[in-house]
Parts: sequence; C-alpha cells; structure tokens
Amino acid sequence: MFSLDTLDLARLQFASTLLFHIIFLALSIGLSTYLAFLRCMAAWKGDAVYMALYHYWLPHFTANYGAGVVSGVVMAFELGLNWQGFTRAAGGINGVLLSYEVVTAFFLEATFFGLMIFGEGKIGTRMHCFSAIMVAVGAYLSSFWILASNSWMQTPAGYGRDGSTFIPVDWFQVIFSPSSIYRLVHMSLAAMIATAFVVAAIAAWHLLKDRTDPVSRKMLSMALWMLTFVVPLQIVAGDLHGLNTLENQPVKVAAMEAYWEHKPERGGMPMVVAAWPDSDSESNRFVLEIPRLSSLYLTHSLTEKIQPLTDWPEAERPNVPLVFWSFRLMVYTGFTMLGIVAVSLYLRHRRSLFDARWFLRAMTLTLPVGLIAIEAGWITTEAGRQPWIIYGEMTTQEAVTPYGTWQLISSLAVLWTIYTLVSGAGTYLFFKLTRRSPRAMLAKDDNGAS
Amino acid sequence: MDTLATVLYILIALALSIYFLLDGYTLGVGLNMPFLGHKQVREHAIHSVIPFWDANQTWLVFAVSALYGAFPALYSTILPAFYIEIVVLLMLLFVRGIVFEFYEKFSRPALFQTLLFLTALAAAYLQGAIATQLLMGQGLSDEPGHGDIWQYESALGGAVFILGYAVLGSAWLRMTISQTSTGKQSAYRLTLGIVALLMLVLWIVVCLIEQPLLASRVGERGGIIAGLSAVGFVGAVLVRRLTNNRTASFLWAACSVLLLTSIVYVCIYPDLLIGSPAEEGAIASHASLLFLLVGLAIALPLIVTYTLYSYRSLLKS
Repeated sequence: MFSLDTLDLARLQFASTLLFHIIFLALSIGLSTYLAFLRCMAAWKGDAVYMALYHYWLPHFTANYGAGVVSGVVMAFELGLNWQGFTRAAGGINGVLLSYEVVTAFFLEATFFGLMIFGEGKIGTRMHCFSAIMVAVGAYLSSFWILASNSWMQTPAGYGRDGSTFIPVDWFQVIFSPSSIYRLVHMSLAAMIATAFVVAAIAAWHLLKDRTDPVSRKMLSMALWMLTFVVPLQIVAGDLHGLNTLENQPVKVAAMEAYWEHKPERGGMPMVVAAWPDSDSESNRFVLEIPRLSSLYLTHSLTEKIQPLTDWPEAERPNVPLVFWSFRLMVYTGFTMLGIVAVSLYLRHRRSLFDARWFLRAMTLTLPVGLIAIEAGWITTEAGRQPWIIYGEMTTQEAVTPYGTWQLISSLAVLWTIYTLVSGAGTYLFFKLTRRSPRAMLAKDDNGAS
Repeated sequence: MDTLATVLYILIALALSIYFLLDGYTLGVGLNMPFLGHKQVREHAIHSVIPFWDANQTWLVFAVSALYGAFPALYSTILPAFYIEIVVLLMLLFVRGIVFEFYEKFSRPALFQTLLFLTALAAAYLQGAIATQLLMGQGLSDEPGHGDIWQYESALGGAVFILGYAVLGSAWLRMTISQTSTGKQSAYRLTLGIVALLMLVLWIVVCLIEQPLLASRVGERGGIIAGLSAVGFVGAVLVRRLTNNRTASFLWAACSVLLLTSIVYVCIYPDLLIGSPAEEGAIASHASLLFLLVGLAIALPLIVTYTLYSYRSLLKS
C-alpha cells in the first residue's frame, strides 16, 4: 500500500529543500531587518546598547545567511531538474521572474552583505548603515519576486497559451496576480514574527541567568514590542489571505476546513477543532467542533457556507488530512502567540516583565513557534493546491521529469545527508553563539572604541 | 535568432564567463590550500575571498536563471541530462559556502581548509566535465540523466578547469596577499601555469578532433577569432604597461578566461549549443525576452557599479 513513484519522490525532494530553505530565509528577512534597525539606531542615538545588540546578532546572521544562500541556489536548479515539463512550458514567465530576483536582489544582498560584515571600520558609518539597509532591502525584494512567481503558479493571470507554452500578455497582471500581495504581506510578517520569537527566547534565557543585564533586557523588550504589533496584524492578514484563497482556490479552503458536504439540517458551517478527515468515506471521524464558527470567519456571517469538497472530483482534491492538520497547526500556533503577547503586555503593565521567572522560562520554550507556523503554512498552501503546479492549467504529474526511481532516491540520499550534516553543525553553532553573554558585547565595544 | 535573442545570448554568455573568472579565483583559492606553506598564509588566503564568494557564485545563478527565462527548452533539457552531476555540484557549492560562513566561528581551520580544497577540486572537475560534454553536443537528448562525465575528453576538461581555477586562485593570492611573493611561490606559480597551458592545448586539440563541427566553425570564423586574439594581446600589453607585477598576473589570467570563452561562444553561435540550431520553440516569446532585457538593462549597470565599489573598499588594507 505504501509506494513512492517518480512524482512522489520529486515532490518529496522539492518539499524537503523548501522546508529546509524557508527556515534560513525567514530568519534572514527578520534578522536583516533587525540588524539594519539596530545599526541605524546605534549611529543615530549613539547608544552603546544598540551596537552591542548588533554585534551579538551579527554572527548568527552571517551563519544563517550562508545556509540560506546555498540552499536557495539548490532550489533554483531543482526547478529545472525535477519539473522539466513546467520549466519548458512556463520559462518565459517563471524564468523571467527568477532572473529579476537574481539581478535585483541576490547581487544586492551578496555584495552589501560583504560590505556590512567586512566593511566595518573600512567604510564610513553612513555607508555601513546604508549597507545594512541594502541587505534587508535585498531580502524583501527577493521575497517579492519569488512570491510573485509562486503566486502566479497558484493564481495564474495575465498570460496566454501558444500550444503548450505560456506566453506573458500583461506583465503587471503576471507579477501582481490575485494572491501575490496577500502572500507577500503574510510571509513578510511571518518572517518578522519567527525572528522576534527566536530573539525573545534567547533574551529570556540570558535574563534567567542575569536579570540585570541591560542588553538582554532591551533585546527582550524590543522583540516583545515587535510581536505586540505584528502578531495581531498577522492574524488580520491571514484572514484576508484566507478569503482571497476562498475566492481563487476554493477547494484548498474546503480541505483546510475538512468540509466534505453540506448538511442542510445545520445552520452555518462548524469549525472543526480536531478530527481525522477520512478521504475514503469522505467524512470526518472523531470530530470535535464549534457550531457556526467557520461560517463566521470564512463568510463573515452565521449562516452562509462554502463549496464542499465533494463538489470536485476526487482527482482534483488535495490530501485532506495533511492540509487540514497543517492549517490547524498554523492557526493554533498563531493564537498561542497572541496569548503570549497578551501576557507580556500584562507583565509590562505590572512592571515585572524581567522578573517573572515563569514567564522567562516559558519564553525560552517559544523559540521555534514562529518557524513551526511558517512550515505549517507552506505545507498548507503547497499541498493544498495539488494536483496542480499551475493552478487549473498544468498538473504536477504533467510537469515532472521522467527520472528513474533510483536516480531520485540517490539524489535524495545525497541531499538529505548534506542537509543533516549542515543542520547538525548549524544547530551546534547556533547554541555556541547564543551562549556568549550579551552584556559582554557592551564591554567589547567599549574597548574597541577606546 | 533575432536581435533580442542574440543580445540575451551574449549577456548569458558574458555572465557565464564572469562566473568562470570570479568563482574561478574563489574555488582556486581552495585548490591552492595545500600549496601555500605557512599556516598564516592559508588564513589570509581564506579571508581574502570570504567577502566576495557569495556575489561571485551569484553569476552562475544569474546565467542559469536568464537561460531559463530566455531559452526555457534548453534549460529544461540540459539540467535533467546531468541530474546527479548537478545535484552533487550543488551540494559541493553548498558545503563550500557553509565552510566560508562558519569558518571563523568554529576553531577547526585544518578540517575546514581540507573541505575547501576537496569541494573545490570536485566542483571544478564537474564543471569542466559538464562543459566539455555540452561542447561535444551531449546533453541534448530528452532522456534525463544520460550525460557521461567520465569519458576521456570530459576528464580532460575537468583537469583543465581544475588547473585553470588553480591558476586564477594563485594569481588572486599574489595580488591580494604580500606573503605570496616569495621565490618558492613564484616557482610554484610558474610550474602551475605551464602545466595548465599544456593541458589546455591538449584539451582543445581533443575537442577539435572529437567534434568536427567545432573544427569547421573554427575554420569558418578564423577572422573573428584572430581579431579577438589581437584584442586580447593588446589588452595584455596594456596591462603590463599600466599595472604593477602583482596585479598584472591576475589581470592576464582574467583576460585569458574572457578571450577563451569568447572564442568558444563565437564558434557556437547561432546555435544554442553546438549542433543544435535555435528552433522556433526553443526561444521564449518576444514579450518575455523584451521584459527580461529591460530588467537587465536597468540592473546590470547598478550591479557592476556596486561590485566595483565593494572590491575597491574591501581590498584596500
């Protein structure tokens, strides 16, 4: 019953590369923003704490950035390696967007990254701040183009067809396809949140050891303020993105909700809190649900319903349990974040943010929550659009390169071996860098200045 | 090929040459690791490329993505043809990048220097072998994974790339690190240069024998090739006049890379790959090419500007 064909293996390879890459990518977006902000504040206010924070996070960023770049390069090639049918037919659109990403973002990031890391002391303060900003700008530009490309595949627009080839007709519509802005906002906010949780967790860990450390205090406070503004914003952005998906990819939303069929006797759609969606019987087992809640957030009414899964032939539905659970995971993580933010505001109000040891301990555990939500979100959106590679136009089955199974298995073995080794070395390095005392950075900078 | 496609062909070819040159010296520094003598020289050598490796590697990503945008049929044929080889190459570049970014943070210089040498060795071989296969007209069938990188002409190509990158790397080190100006190092560079040159000549002869189409193109376009060589020669003389010894060797190596690759492109054009004329369906639509070109026209001058700025400010000690 369990067998993997060429398509499954090619998807597994691409998915594992993406899930690996997206961690570094999210942290690169977040950390580059954070560092640019710290660098400019340090120059503007002349406050040593900002510069200490900058120097504390810089090595984390360089290590993370390196891993992000190299895993990203793998992705650029994997498209052509694994999805021959797709790249041949849609290169005139997808390839052009990727080229824009390379020339507007990759070179910018790479070059100014060199200046940011190695130019300190060699180039002036202004130029150094500018370099830090350019690295962050590069990260956002890169997201813009790659998400434009992904969005076009999810909600294609502005194209025509010449036989099997996709021809761009209106580039504006191609780049700003119906889901692109929603995806860009949702992902950028997610990257900031994921990074802020990593920063907050590490700050909390240091405060548990030394509650008077001014650098760690600032670190925690800044990260929590960031989360206070961005987490609620993300929930709104996520809701809007969901509504956009409902309009453009209704079957994905039906799978996210595990909504199999209308039950006329019930008013509105319940929100399924937990269940095992069973694709064979086209129903949910072991259901725990809240009446009408799903209608409320999907249609903003108490009675309306969305199209159920059974409106589509079985071959055009995604893997329902996978999409359902990855979506639940993302949403539940999101609301946990909101809870954490609320508690932090209360503690701030009580002026005991740095003293409540139970809270600091809890914060150290939240280190991966943002990253977990990102992984879950990407599984939802990518698995949810199956069987399509270009929604409604081309299936992944039509696109896949016809390799033999052994070829894919051996390359998968190579990839996973390297990823495991790099993850191991990266995790070790992360904790090694994290153990450094933030307060010591302050002293080091003073010595450097004198 | 119409004008738009030709311009993109030239830009992609140029990007590839720049990649060979820039990542050539980066990988070349790795290849020179065992021959640098003192521990401190190796340390300086690695630090001389860390600020640049990433941007250098990006030229390959650019060449490949522009190929994808402008000539999707070719992109989607040659990548799968060398499936395992490319996956392994990517993993080697992956480890190489990690080594650079983790280098200062782990105190394991010996291990990392060895990794740098081995990844550069294997990556240079694979690039040379794949390039030779493409030059032989392999990699054009629709059957994925049929490229053969162990044929003797591929192996020769691999050796040429290894030696060529080593020459670039040692010229770079001579330019950027004063400790490499010793007599012993000069003797090493001279030997390396001569061996590389001999291997290159051998490889060219083998390619011309094995691929008659290439030989006939060289005959047809003798005039252009002679012209390019003349430009190269004038460039070499100018370099000698205008720069000091330390910079000259790197600039000569750079000119040689550009000259050689230009000759190869001249022989391939107007095919996309030798022996495979660019058919109607092989080139992306006019709308795609035009939009791509607009982006490049805006971005490339900026890229060149800030790249030069970064070299200027980071190389002054």
